[in-house]
Amino acid sequence: MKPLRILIVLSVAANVALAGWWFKSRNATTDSAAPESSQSAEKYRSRFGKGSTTETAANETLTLTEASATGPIATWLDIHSADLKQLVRRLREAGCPDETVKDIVVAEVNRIYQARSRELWPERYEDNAKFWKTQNTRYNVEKQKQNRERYSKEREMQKEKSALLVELLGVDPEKQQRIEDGYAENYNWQEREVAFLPESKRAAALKILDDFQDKQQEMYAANAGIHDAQSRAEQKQLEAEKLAALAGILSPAELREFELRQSQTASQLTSDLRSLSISREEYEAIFDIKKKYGDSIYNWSGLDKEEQKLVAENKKLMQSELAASLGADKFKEYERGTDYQYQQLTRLAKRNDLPADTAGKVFDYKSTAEDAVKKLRDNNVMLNEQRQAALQQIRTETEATLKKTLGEKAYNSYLKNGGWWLNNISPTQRPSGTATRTGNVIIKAQ
Amino acid sequence: MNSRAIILGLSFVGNVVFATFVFRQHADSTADAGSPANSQTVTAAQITHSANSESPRATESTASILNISDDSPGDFQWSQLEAADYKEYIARLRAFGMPEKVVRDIIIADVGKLYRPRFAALRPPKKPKNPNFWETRGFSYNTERAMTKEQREQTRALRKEQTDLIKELLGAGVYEDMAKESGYPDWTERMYGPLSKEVREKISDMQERFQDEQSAFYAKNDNHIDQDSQVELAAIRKKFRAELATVLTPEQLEDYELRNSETAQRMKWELSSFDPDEKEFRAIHAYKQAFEELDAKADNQDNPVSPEELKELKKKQKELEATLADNIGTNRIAEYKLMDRYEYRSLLDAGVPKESVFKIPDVKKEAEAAASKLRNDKSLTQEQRTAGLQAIKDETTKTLAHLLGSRRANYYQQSGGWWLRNLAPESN
Repeated sequence: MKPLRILIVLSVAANVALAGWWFKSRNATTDSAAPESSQSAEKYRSRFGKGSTTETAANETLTLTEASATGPIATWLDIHSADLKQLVRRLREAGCPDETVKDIVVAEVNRIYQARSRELWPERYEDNAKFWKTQNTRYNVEKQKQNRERYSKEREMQKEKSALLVELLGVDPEKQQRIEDGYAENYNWQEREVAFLPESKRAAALKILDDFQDKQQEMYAANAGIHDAQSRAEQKQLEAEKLAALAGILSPAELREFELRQSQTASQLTSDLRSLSISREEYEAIFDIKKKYGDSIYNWSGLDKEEQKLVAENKKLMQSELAASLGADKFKEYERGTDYQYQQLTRLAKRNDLPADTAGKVFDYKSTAEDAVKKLRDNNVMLNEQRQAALQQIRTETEATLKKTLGEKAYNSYLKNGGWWLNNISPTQRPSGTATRTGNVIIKAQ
Repeated sequence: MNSRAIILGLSFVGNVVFATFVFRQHADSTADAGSPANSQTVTAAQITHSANSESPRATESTASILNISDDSPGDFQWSQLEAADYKEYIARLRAFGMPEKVVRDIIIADVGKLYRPRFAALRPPKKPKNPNFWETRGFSYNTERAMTKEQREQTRALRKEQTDLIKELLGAGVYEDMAKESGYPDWTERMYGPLSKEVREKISDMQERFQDEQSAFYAKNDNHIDQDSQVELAAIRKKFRAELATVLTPEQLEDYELRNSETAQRMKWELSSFDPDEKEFRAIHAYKQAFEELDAKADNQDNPVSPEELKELKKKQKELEATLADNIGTNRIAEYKLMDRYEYRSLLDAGVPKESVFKIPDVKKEAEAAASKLRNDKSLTQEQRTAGLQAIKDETTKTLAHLLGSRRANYYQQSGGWWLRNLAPESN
């Protein structure tokens, strides 16, 4: 073989060897680049306590090729972009873990929306360091309307922000976090009100409720704190208009369900039924009776004697209808639940860690004592001294029973909060030399 | 030149090219193995340089920290910024030219994720939602997930740990910087005023414990405060005040109370129409606090005061009123006394002009004096007296209707203006 030929063979062989080596080492580098992403995920895991970056890892090698086409990355400025889609793309191309992409983008989006919120509501950003500055408590129809519009725009902005995050990241991480933490997915109370409706009807129902809210706020502002027959009539009228509007888009069954859950009557039942365990049928029965009587059972301030009499009659009729519908035992429970003194007792028992049935027991002792007192007072045959002695005995016995049931501390507390009825059995002797006060006027003790 | 020589020449060129590729590949992989994430040490000087740099653009040394070679910048991988240690990670982010606000975004969110499971473990699990709306009426969400005292304490300790970690990582002033950048007014200024940062921190801890105790109190009482629980609440507040007094001078404590006490909070609502200046607010706050303290003594049913003690309390209350009048001036004290009463304040809040509202006390005084004169006039028969009183009542109602408008005047009788009803006996 001639030397030239040998040189050619050697050179080609060297080329083949070098090419093979280059390809091999290139592949090895590419192979090691892939685990690099996984390694970074591992580092995040060690900080987060859970894996979080793998969903985009598969695309990273691919998108990196595109990244080299868009230009080299030497600093944050090469990644950052005011265009959020571009920012997300560049972060992903650079192999930024998905969780970090979310953190960066959520913060950027929040800054954008905070700036918009500031434009919408500049007063919130005014200096408030002057501690002597008071709150504006005046009714201001225009201001209130402006604020309602602002709240509405804020809600819209919140939705827009959430949609933007979903568009950029495939998910709204803030919403996701709220759900994971066990909070309501939807923190707009009005949207929660219509959540029981089919999806297709919620937006229309919400619009009606929104409009109603506006009208109601306008009505409150126009009345500027006046609660009289006129304002009550206006409120009723608005409620009727709201239901009529809802009836236009809801089926009768859906409207009925709305009323049972969200109407004014339903709101009034909230406190009445607080301590009562009932079935749906019982709830509906109470609801219908309450709805029938509406506000005709309330002794509003400013009613004349005739009107007050009518209120008392209506109340009596309603009570008898409720008793007939619920049965004696359940009605007794219902009545207790709506009795302020019983509610006071329930709170007292809770505060003093007493058994759950304590309030009921004390309430029964009260009824027993008051019945006995009535009988004694109605007894015309007895001498006054005899009656006084018997009354004193009832009081002593009742006090002893109450002390035993409540314990010394809760009993003393009860005497000051709800236990006034004991004085009606027989008068209390005050120790001499003490004084008491009524309101702001200091008076001498009897 | 023959064809063999050309082939040989081309082959040599190929040798050189391949050899260069192989060499560069080897050099790169050696540098990679030497470490972007694991073995790179970031010096304090480098962190300072990057963090203080006006320009976020990376410097030559930054590039070397992150191992971005000039010939192959396209090879950058986020993993080069990664580090298991937060401080090292932050140094790399800063060295990469990342603005501080973005560094904060990343680190605060990251630390938040680190702590979230620990916070979640302290939160009572959410009860499954009861779909039966008729069974869930009247129960609030907060009650369903109320924490125990221990859980609240642990949550508070954990929150402090998280905050301390963030401060350690991003600087002690990180939260102040963020507040400034956010553009929101600094609420701590209104709360703490001139107190130093150290004192604020001490107080903040006390405040949290106090608020915690107060929240537990309200939860236990179903947010309903009666006479008995009022005493308990006052004791909680007194304890907090005593604790504050261990770190604040009397002047600082007074200043803190002006900004944060219950009395001050109420005054912000009650004095809206009065619109006090700083001096007036201070004077009224001092007056109200001292007055309320005397009231509490007089009302203490567990330890009733003697008539002599009551007399003394009444005397002290009069002295307080005189001091207040001296401090805010005769004209303003008259305005304050009116606006401190709901019956007049509610009219001002409803938009009734001040001039009209301020006339009502005179109308009242005049009507009551005339009614009293009639009641004491023994020359009149019962019918004459009743008719006279009714005439006074009718005339006063007309005057009020003129001042307030008839609907507002009617409502006034039910919302503070009870005196009008008492002018004449109600007709049956």
